[in-house]
Amino acid sequence: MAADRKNNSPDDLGHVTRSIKPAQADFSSVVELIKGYAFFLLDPDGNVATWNLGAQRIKGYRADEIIGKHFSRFYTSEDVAAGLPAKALRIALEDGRFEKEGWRVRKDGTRFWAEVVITPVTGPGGELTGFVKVTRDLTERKLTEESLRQSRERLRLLVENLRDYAIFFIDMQGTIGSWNSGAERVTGYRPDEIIGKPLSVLYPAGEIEQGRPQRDLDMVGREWRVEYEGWRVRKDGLRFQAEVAMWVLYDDSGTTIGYIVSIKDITERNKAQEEMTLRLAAESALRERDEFLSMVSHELRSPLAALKLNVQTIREELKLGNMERVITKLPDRLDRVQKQADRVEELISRMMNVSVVAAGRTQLVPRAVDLSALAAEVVAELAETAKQANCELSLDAHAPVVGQWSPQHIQEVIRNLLQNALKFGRGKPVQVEVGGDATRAWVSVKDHGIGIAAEDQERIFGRFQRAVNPRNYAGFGLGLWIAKETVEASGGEIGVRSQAGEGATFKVSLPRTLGDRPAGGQTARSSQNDELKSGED
Amino acid sequence: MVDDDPNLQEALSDLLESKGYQVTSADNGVAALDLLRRSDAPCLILLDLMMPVMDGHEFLARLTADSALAKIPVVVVTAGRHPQGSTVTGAAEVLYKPFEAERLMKVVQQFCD
Repeated sequence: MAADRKNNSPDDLGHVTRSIKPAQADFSSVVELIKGYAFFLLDPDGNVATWNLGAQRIKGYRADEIIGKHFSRFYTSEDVAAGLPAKALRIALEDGRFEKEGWRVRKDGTRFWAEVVITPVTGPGGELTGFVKVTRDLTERKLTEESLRQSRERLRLLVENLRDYAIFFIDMQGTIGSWNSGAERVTGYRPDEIIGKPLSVLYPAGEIEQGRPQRDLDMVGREWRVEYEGWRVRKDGLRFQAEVAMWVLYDDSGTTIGYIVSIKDITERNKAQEEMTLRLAAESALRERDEFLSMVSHELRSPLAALKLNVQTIREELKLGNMERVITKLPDRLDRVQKQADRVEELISRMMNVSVVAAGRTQLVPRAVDLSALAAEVVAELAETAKQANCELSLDAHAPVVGQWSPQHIQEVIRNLLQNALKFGRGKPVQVEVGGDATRAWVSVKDHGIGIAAEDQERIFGRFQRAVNPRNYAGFGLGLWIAKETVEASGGEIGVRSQAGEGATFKVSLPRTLGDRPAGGQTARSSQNDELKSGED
Repeated sequence: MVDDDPNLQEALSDLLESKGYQVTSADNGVAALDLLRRSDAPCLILLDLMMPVMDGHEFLARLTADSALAKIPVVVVTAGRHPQGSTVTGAAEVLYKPFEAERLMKVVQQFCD
């Protein structure tokens, strides 16, 4: 279009158009194609001689407003003052071409970023006939570049100023290539001390020996991104817990050029979490202890009430002076006093046992013992309780079943199970059975009482857990928990088979010899094991 | 008296019988209601709260709902202060274990003499 226009006015600049005629076909098509260019001619003095639509679009002048005017008006006042327009023409003449980017001014006074090319045009005799000036508006590109530069700079500043994160670049061999201030703060290394060193300097010696640094590089190469919590070592040799992340870094063509590494020191965070966990555990331990003490005191009140009544009855009768009755009744009453004192003692010993088990301080001292004999002793011991509960108590243990166990602890387990059976199976028969094979021995306690619903069968082995309403049954809610802890510490298992309303069968299975159980003679410490300590070691 | 602890049953019966009272025992609420319906009304019921089969609270509720039995005074004898325990409604008096024989006798005399 611009070429047409120029051709339509040959009278103005006939000599110039003529001189560039050989290139006219190309010239037209170029001007057509690239409308974003201002493409015009200057006379030898620098006055605008032709004008195209691209020029109008970029600079804002119409042809009639600008033709004949000096091209210096396209320059900023600073550039004009510096003599840049004249200098541009001189360079074009001397070098055959002037090419530069710079700020130019539109008709409305706004500036745009221009790429300018000025080339001289000479006549047939070599005389200067003018200049071709091509101007392209690169403002958008300039702004894009600027914003890209700014965003890179912001990113750089951001990375630089992330104080709690070490963020740096490593090449594919793991050589450290950059270092931010966070990296210096987290690790203690200055940039000049670490750039060029392998990533492995930040790993603990043990992990270097195991090849961890190379494994990390392999993994991030394979999986693009690796994140984990682990140990890192500071310049001063101190280890710290770190949140580590590594990403693959690609260039524009998508080729891996290295990795970005981020390391955050999370020692403080973990410490805070640990403290919180400890505090919650301590609070829960206190609550459980209070509840336990409350239950213990509750349990002690009944035998104490009976004890006091027995003593006070004797005293009342002495006061009445009925000596014959006092003496007749005395043996019975003393027996009852003795029995209540024994109950109190037993409760206290159970309470102490709870605190020992809870603290994980059970000392198992295994020796060769006969499970049948141990069971028989407990059955005999609880015969009176069974009578009171109106339970017919039977023992099926005909042959000795010998194994390596801690006798008093195994008896405590059987006692717990039997007491439960008598408590929950009142008025119905209770059977104890002992058996064994080459490697294992077992004892089971079967009652025909209220039974345990399927959903409670797991729970009842937990601490302070009962399947029954405490309004109906007294107790610590700890017997089965103690039994389970003890059996497991002995390498054995405890389980129950029951249906609600149809009684329950508890079965304890024990390995016969030490070799058949895990090493160590102490109870495994449960996860919340520091509660209920009755005193320090 | 309604209490599932045979030791306390024995001790209480011994004391009260030595003072000339007649004591009949049941070890849970169901057995106690059964016993009450089959015999003459006692001058007083000594009631434990925590018992199997039917606890003291439910026993009290059933007793007061039964017009033939509702007038029998009930003294609750409890270890009390249990975390899962609760207040007692419908009892004339509450004795907390372990209590003094003297205190018990006063209460018994109040209702039975």
